[in-house]
Amino acid sequence: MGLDFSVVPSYFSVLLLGAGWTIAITIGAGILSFFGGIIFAVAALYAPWVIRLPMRLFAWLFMGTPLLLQLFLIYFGLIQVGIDLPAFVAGVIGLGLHFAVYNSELIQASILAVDKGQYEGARTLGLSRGQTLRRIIIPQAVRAVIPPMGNNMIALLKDSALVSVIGVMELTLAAQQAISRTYRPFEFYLAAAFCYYIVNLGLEAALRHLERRIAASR
Amino acid sequence: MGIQLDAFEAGVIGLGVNIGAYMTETMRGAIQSVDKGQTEAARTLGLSRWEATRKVVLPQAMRMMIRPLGVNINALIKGTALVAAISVVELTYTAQRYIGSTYKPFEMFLLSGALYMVIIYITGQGIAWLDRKARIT
Repeated sequence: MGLDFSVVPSYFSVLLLGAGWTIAITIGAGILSFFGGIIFAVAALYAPWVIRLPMRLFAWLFMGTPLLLQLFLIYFGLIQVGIDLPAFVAGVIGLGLHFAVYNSELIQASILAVDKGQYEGARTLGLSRGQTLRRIIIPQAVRAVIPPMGNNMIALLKDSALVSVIGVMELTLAAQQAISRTYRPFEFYLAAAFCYYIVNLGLEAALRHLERRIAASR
Repeated sequence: MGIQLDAFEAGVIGLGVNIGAYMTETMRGAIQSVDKGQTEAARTLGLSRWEATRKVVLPQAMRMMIRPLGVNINALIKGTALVAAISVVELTYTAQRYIGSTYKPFEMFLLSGALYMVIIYITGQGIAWLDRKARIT
C-alpha cells in the first residue's frame, strides 16, 4: 500500500475548519494563560497565606499531572459535581489553566528581577502599593517575560491537539474523522501535521514581531 | 505503509523520538556552555579534537545537563498519558477503563493524578540526588 494524497483535497474544507478551531482554542487558552499567569504570579508573591497556600497546591497539581488527565478531570469529572461544561470551554479552561501555571512561574521570577529601585522610586512618588505593582512593576516584568512566554504559546498550540480526546472538532479530530471515512491515516495525519506547522509559522512570526516591537520601545 | 507496530512500541518510539529532540537541544546547550578555553587548552596539550571533546568537554557538560534533562524526563512522564490515545493500558487508560464501570470520573482521575505526582516526586528526588553527586565540590 503506497501513499495516495489524492484523497486529501476533497477533505480540505474539513481540515481547514479543524485548523480554525485549533486557532480559536489556542487564542482563547493563550489569553487565559496570559492573564491567569499574571494573577497567579502576583497572588503567589503578595497574597496572604490563606490564598497562597491553596494556590501553591493548585500549581503543584497542575505541574505534576499530565495535561490529558487535567482535561479529563475538567470535562468528565466536573459533571459529577454538577458543572457541565461544553467540550470547547472545558478544553480552553484546561489548557489555559495548565499554561497559566507555567507562565506564572516565569512571571514570578521576572517580577523579582525588576530592580528594587523601581519600587522604591514609585512609592516615593506617592503611588500606593497596588498602583506601584500595576503600573510600574508588572509592565516591566511582563515585557521581560514575553520571549519565554512565547515558547509556552507554541507549546500550547501543539498541546491543543489533546483537546480532540474530549471531542472538540479541532484539527487532529478532523483528521481522525477523515481517516475513519477513507482509511488513509498516514496521508491525513501528515496533512494535519503540515497544517499545524503552517499555523505555528504564523504564530512564530507574530511573536517575533511582538518581541521586536518591545525591544524597540525600550 | 506496511509497517505494523503494536501500540506499546508505537508509543515508546513516538515519545522517545519527540523527547529525544528536546533532549538534543538541552545537551547542545550544556556542551556549548563549557568554556571555550577548555577545548583550546586540551588541544594545546596535544589532545585530538575527538579526545578533547570526549575527555575534557563532555565530562563537564554531563554534570551540567543533569538538572535540565530532569525537566525533560518530568515532561516525558506526563507525556506518557498521551499513549492512552492509542490504547496502551497505562495509568490514564486504566483510570478511564475503571470509570467505564464505576461512573466515578472525578475520583478516578484525581487518584491517578496523585499517582503521577508520586512518580514524578520520586524521579525528581532521584535526579536531585544524581545532581548533588555529580557536583564538583
